[in-house]
Amino acid sequence: MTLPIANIEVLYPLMFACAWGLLVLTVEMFSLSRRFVGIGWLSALGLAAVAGISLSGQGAGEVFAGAVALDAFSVYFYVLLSVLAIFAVFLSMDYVPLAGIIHGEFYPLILFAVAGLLVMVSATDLIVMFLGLETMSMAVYVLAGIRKDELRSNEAALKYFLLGAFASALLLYGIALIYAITGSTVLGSVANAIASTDYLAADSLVLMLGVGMLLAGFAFKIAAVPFHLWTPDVYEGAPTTVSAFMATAVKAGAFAALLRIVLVALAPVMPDLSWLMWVLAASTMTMGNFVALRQTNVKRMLAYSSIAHTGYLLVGVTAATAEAGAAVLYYLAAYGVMNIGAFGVLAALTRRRHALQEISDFAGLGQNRPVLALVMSICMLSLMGMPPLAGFVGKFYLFTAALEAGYTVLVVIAVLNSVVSAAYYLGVLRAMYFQSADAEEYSPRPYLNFAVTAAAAVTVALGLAPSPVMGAASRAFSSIILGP
Amino acid sequence: MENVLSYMTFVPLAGMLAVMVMPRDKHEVIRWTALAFTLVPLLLGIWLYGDFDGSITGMQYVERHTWIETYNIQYIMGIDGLSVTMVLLTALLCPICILASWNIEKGVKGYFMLFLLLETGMMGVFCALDFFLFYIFWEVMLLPMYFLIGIWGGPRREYAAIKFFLYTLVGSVLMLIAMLALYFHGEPRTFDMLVLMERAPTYARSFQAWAWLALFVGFAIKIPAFPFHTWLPDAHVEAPTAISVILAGVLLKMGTYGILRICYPIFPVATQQFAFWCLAVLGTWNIVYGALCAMAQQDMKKLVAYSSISHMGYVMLGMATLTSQGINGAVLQMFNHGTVTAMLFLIVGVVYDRAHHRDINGFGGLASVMPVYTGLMTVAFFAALGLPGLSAFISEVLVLLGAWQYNQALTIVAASAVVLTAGYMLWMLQRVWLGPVNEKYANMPDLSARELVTLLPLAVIVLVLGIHPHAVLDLIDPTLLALNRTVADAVVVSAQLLH
Repeated sequence: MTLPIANIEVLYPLMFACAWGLLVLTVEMFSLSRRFVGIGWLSALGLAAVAGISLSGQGAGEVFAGAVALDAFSVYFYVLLSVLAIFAVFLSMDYVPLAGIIHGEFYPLILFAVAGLLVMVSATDLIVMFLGLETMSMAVYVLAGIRKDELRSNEAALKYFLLGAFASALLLYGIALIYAITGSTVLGSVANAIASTDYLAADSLVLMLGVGMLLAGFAFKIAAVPFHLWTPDVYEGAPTTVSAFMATAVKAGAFAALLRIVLVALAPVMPDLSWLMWVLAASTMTMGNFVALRQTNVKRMLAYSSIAHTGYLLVGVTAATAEAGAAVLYYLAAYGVMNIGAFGVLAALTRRRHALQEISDFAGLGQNRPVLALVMSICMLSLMGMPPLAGFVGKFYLFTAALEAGYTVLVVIAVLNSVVSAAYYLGVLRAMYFQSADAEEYSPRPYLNFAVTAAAAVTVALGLAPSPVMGAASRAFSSIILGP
Repeated sequence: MENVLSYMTFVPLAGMLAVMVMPRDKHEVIRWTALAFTLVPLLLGIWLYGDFDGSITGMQYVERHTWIETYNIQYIMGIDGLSVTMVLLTALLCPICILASWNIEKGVKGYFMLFLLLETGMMGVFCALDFFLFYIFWEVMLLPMYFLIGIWGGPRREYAAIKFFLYTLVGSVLMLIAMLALYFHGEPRTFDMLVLMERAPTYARSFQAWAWLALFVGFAIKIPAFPFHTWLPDAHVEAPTAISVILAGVLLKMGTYGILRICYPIFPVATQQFAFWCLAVLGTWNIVYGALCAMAQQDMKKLVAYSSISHMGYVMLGMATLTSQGINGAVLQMFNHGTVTAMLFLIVGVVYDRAHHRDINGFGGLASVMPVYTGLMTVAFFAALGLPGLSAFISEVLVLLGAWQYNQALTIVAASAVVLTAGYMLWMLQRVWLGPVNEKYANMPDLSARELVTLLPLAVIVLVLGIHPHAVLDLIDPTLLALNRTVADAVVVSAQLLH
């Protein structure tokens, strides 16, 4: 019997990710030790295979009547998400036993979250996109609260779940309203329907309500102001490597979906809504940076910094040109790697069941753990936008694209924000190098050390030789705007 | 040797990597390695001095590679008469500073790694001919400086470091905005400074004006010109000796270098428009203000820091005049101030190492205690106050000659300030070196061989350039005259192009 689906190979990476997740779950059940790092290796192997399969299947086309597409855009994100997830897995291989997480589901949940993200970034249909978003969210809700005996972890999971469910509801309602006006949930058809009708006429309110709800739903997921309030609490309470995964992979996935919606489905409406994106971008980065200035808890600071970076990324979404889109894609990669490094260092400094939290805990790190301090410095400087690191090149791409699109004031706000951000990123450097503290004994953490060092190395490499990734980002982005 | 500039820039970086892999308790090995990796650029610099053709006005030793193709960003290195002096100065001062840092005992490995990275940044700034590349080197240099002040500095080092960092960062951001504006102003888009210079006549007056001002503020912070100078005394007082030497000897020159390299040829019309108020008047104010502040100081290092502000004023005044003497004098003054101030900071460092304080009134009669030291000190002090026969005299006279043709009132003010300079230098000399011997320091040892090696070459250069200034003037003159012409002709050319 043959399956009555044309182009089934489009789904291979997805199917593989789900199957591998189940496989890891099964293997884990029969493993003798709960702290068996082989499970981590197995997960990383599967993720690498996902990246490989998606690369080999590039350009396979669409499946399910245009609901899922394996275009260059999807492949870019498949690879990026796999790489970020591999980083998260490597961080966890040391962190999970340290943090006292004894639940075998940890790695399979990461794989299921990745599967959800893959659906989300390759979906060209609103309903399928929602499906991916929910699959991912469910897995991440559990991951956030996986330390059952930890109060903050419970709080994080509950908060994330309640607000996330609310955001999902908004999103779904938005999709329903858009369907009511356009009669379709396929992105291309929605765009055509909006373009062919005079959407400013009678039904405009319903359509705008739908668009507004859709955007609000996504604003929750990417942590844009004023829908950002969950971020610091959740990042703080969740296990550190899960925060790393959320801040990088989940954000990248949400931005991918947002780009598809804003620049494909809603393309005809966007010129009238660019002011909204403008306000969203400006307020998100300003709020994120200024609140981050006052934080003494590093995880909360990184959470606000991630809000600020959402703002920078929204500058690219506002500009909405081909260059800006490519810049957003590049920045997601750069941001992902440097943030993995930063959270990774936090995880590497975990004492028994107790993650390092305060900036003052970093005192003397430059003396006591020079390599970790160097990694942290590279990540902080890159987040700040110091050349020649990845974060600088990413900001450069974003801001030049926005300037070219005519958003001069927004770029000036963004650049001034970068100066403000220097103050709090330097605070970490100051603690590490200008203050001293007694050395502490740490158990060996080979995987963590390897992962953070690799993240720092990639951050430097992406800054010195950005062309390959930028080229891929540029091809990826043009595949969705030229596609439909 | 067509890649000589890349070697000079990146050999110190290689040195940094070499030090990085060394065990951190092998202090001697680390020091010698750092010295070796800074001597390579010096030797290359000496070769460059012989090989450089001063009669050519264009760029020499040009290297050009594509770096980031999408944005037409290139790796372009090259030097002309303007940059060669700065490259030589950097190559000269770095090994001297390594020697001056020999007695650093805290975090030796980190210190020398950062120092080598700093040299790469400085060399790069003076060699880069792509604006993007220039910006990268500019920022690269900022970080090691922040750490070098913040970790190895004096009691208020954290405050001084963050102040230095934030001031410079604000300047960089202004520079970045002007740079992006330039990039979008003309097809095909490029950061290539040479191409931007050719396009100079096509830039509208208003665009030139605001871009010039944005760049000027960025550079003025570095010079530092009043009112952006307040970071300098703090940074100098807290920084270790060698870092003060680099700060005053090389980093301050980046401000005036940037104005001459970027503002002058790319925005010539705006340069003419703003030269009087922003460069000449502000420069003269710097001269007087710096000198008056220096006079009031009790701390030897702070005095020298304010004297730097004063001496950099001559550079600004000289380049504002757009006369052949003025601009030659300005660039010569950049070089001479580099050597003289380096000596002054080293001299302060010598007593600080022995007495662990720098209070001017806390010494007395050092001349009879440390005769060799006093001899070298005399050379530096008299050079700083502009004694004929020593290098700084020539450059200051050239500046004043140029200024006289430009604006006589400012010249009179600037020339009178020489009296103030003599006042604070001699007054410090008198209080520290003359008078009754302070018993506490009666047994202070004279210069060690290492200290002598740091001071002697500089003293020789100061003496030689005082007698034979053409050793430098021959390198810079044709380039600067061409630059003068570019600015002077700009109004005519842009008028022709627009009609």
